[in-house]
Amino acid sequence: MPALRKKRDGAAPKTPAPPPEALAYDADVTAQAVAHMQRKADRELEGEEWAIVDGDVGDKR
Amino acid sequence: MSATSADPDWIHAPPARFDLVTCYFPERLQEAEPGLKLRPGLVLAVLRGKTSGRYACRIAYGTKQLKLPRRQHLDLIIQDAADVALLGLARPTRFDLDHTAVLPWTATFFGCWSGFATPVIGTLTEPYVREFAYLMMKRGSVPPPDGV
Repeated sequence: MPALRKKRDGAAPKTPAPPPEALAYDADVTAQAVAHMQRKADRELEGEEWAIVDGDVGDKR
Repeated sequence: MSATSADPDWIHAPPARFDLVTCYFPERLQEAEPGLKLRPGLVLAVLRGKTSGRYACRIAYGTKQLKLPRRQHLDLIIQDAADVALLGLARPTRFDLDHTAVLPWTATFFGCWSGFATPVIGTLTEPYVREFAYLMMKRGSVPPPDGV
């Protein structure tokens, strides 16, 4: 299992600047759109038991 | 859900809680092809499949529609220009904490901006982690994160 990265030192990330495509989304976050993505995800998540390995938010699936 | 040789390398390196990642989200939900585009998401938790060893993440999607002042006491909003740049964002962003999703850490749900080798674009700094903890306490859902 790869080590989960812990980065809490506030250091600037060593990543490139966002490209122009980073501005290309406009739609608001809505309950319907999130539910659409969750339904799509559930097709891949179902049939497996999942355990939280980092964090403690929301349901435990 | 199983790994294939076509999978990108980053699916074997999960993000950490409070990482900012680029994830797909529909632009036109009402249409037959909703036009998924990459946008920032905040990782709230990382999960691992007990059988497959694959990863999944609970994500709060980001939006550039800040909706100030209505949402400023409900959602995590990054609007300071220096912080936007520091965290790897392209513009001021509100992470909607009302509606989150658990998504497999795969190329179906996450992707890389041009020039990036991974969907991870940054990590929340301590002041924003504390703000997130405060928001969640006000919402009454969870205790504050460890060490906060």
